[in-house]
Amino acid sequence: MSDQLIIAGFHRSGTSATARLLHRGGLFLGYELLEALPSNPYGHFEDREIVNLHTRILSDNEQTWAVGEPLLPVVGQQRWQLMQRIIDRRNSEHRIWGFKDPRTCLFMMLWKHLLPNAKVLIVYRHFSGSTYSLGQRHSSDMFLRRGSAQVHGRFWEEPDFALRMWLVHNNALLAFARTFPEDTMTVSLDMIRDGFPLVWALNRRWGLDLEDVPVAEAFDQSISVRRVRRQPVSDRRLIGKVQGTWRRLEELAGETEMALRKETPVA
Amino acid sequence: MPENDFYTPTDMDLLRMENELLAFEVRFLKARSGGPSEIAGSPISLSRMTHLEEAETDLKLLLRRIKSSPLGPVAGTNRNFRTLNDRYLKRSEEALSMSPPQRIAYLEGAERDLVLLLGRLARGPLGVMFRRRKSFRTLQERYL
Amino acid sequence: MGRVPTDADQHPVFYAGRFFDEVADAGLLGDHTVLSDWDVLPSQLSAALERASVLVVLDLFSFPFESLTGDLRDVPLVLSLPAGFDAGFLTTVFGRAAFARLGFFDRVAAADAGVWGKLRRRYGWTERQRIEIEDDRPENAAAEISAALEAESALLASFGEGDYEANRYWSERGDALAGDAPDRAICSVNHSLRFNKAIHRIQAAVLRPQFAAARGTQPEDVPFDVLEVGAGIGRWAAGFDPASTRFTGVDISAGMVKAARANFPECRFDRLGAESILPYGDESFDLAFSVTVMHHNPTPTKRALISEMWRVTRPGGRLMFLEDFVSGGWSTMSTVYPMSVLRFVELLVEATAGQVVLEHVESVRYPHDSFTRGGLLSVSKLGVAKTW
Repeated sequence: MSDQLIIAGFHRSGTSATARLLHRGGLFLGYELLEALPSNPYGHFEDREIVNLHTRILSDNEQTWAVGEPLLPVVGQQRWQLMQRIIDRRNSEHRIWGFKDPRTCLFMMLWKHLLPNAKVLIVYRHFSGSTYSLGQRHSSDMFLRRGSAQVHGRFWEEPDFALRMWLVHNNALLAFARTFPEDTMTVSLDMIRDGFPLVWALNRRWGLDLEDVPVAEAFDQSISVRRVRRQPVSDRRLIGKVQGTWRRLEELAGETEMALRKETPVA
Repeated sequence: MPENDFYTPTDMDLLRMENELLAFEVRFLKARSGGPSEIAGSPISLSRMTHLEEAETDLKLLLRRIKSSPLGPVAGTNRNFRTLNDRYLKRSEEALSMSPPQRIAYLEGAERDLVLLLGRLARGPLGVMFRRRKSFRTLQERYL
Repeated sequence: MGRVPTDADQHPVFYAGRFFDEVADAGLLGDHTVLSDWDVLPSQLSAALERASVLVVLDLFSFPFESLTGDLRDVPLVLSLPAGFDAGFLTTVFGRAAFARLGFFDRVAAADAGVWGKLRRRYGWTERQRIEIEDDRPENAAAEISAALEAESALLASFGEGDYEANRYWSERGDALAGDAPDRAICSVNHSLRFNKAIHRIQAAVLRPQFAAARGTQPEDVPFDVLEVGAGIGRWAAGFDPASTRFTGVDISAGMVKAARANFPECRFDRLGAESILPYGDESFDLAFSVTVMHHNPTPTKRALISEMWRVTRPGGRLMFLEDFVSGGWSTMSTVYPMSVLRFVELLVEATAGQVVLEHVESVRYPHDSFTRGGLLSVSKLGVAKTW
């Protein structure tokens, strides 16, 4: 019997660093892991097979990874079969395995459909941080003619595009957490930076038996620690929605911390 | 409908919603027929798309095998091989963020390059040796 | 094609065939036309039926049913069974040409209850579809049918006063129409039966293949459980074979539920409470669908209904919505909450927590519109079955 742990978080939310941490702890993340490259700049620790699969499903639905509206996908028979092949191989060769790909946010329910016992670690970050980071990256890439001009363009032509992306992805994560609270753990990037014992908490909660690795080893603490910026917005109707989502994410993270406090013996 | 031929739409919402509905339907039809259509306009079927993607994977596999085999260093001196290596192994991640029409063009290129490569290997001085390997023969059957 | 005729210039058309003289002298009430067998030659049939609100066929033997093609299939039919023949004979002669093409909007005038009963059961008609007549001689049958049709088109009790509130409006409307004119409860109360039949045919052409697809590869001997939300008097129940399907319908109007039960005693119909909670257990159905219901309700109700429909469907089963996705806010008396397809998709993903994948999308264009108004969305439910 294999265990599965899926690392799910929006782009630029700390999923790469989290993946590095868990990878060091012994979590198998894929046979071929991508490195960050101009065309997939946030691609650390992403499983090539899984990214390919997600990309194909998105492409089937006329989408790239830059999804800013809720997605109701068509999933063809061959895509389901490919997912099953990916699962079967890993289940037969690894006691515990997982993957990290921000595109997963949009396909949580597909994976859960084939992996009813999979556990999910949600990593989130304040929208201002993610959207700023995305905007920055795409302007420089567009200028340097790296990657897809079509995708870069959307960040500049469509108002609030990055913010809407953040909203769509994190709403999908919240929907998953609401539906499968027993199988979800939610942490914020800040929490991990501040020393939350992630591996210990995962092991404790789900008996995963990962090796506990000090956060400092996996996290580059020199990453900008500026927590919250002002968020530019064009459509003010988004404000309430975004704040609501942020609040609910913080609530879930709060639950994670409280659960930890209950477990930890009083110092 | 008014009697005359010309009319001014009085309800912009109506037009926008109708547009959305029809565009949504077209998107679904494309998705069901296998993904984004070629630039020429005819939709590409799901099986064709999958075939193209598998051709790309097989090409990459073949290139890696050659690289890591005793032939590797020799192959590396061949300009064509270096080009293929560069396009499909070194810069393969670019393919992941292409727009749908670009992606199809890229994949069709991969299929063509695979066919060419297989042909060259089979006809070359080491052709006999290649053809003895089951995996090579499988690829030959599929693409040649 | 010209405009679809409005109610005002439509009237019943009686095909008397060989009995033209007798029927023409019968003194039928109201506006009407009587046709002889010459009048229905293929080249003339279209013109003869252009303003028909209903076509009463008094002489089945001589009527060219196969000429009812294209838009002529929208004309509601009343077939007057010829006297002195048993059900078996009638089936042999008229089964394929005439009886098999009768649907929910068509009727049969029959004097013999026994013959009617046998045919009804064979073709799955409802009791409501019978016009009971005493005398089956053509001129007398014509008079009785004419009187029945006149009575039906009389003014109805008013309903729907005051501001539009969905539950109250549809409840009142259903209750008002259920007793006297249940056919008017379908689609559009302000339009003729012919109009409503046309709409139904368009919807049926889109829905039938999807119902079949939802049934998929399920073996014939396993019953297919279907739920319709907003079932009214059950017009879609008629589209399922009772031998292999268990049809359940739910509606906000007690009057509609009562009429539906009378129409389809072998199906189940329940009243829906104001809180939009479906009175069924989790994972009870293979297919849950709604036809022109969602767009009459405000967003919270839509969300609640979608969520409930999802709950009662089995994993792998389907949810289907045939709704209007295009409407302007052009009428203060409108009973529609304008809703674009993308907004509906957003709501669908929200209400199901994304536990669905898209199976089918099809736009639906009605003949009286200059734009495409409706659409069908079909999704299948993800997940592992919780119940056995």
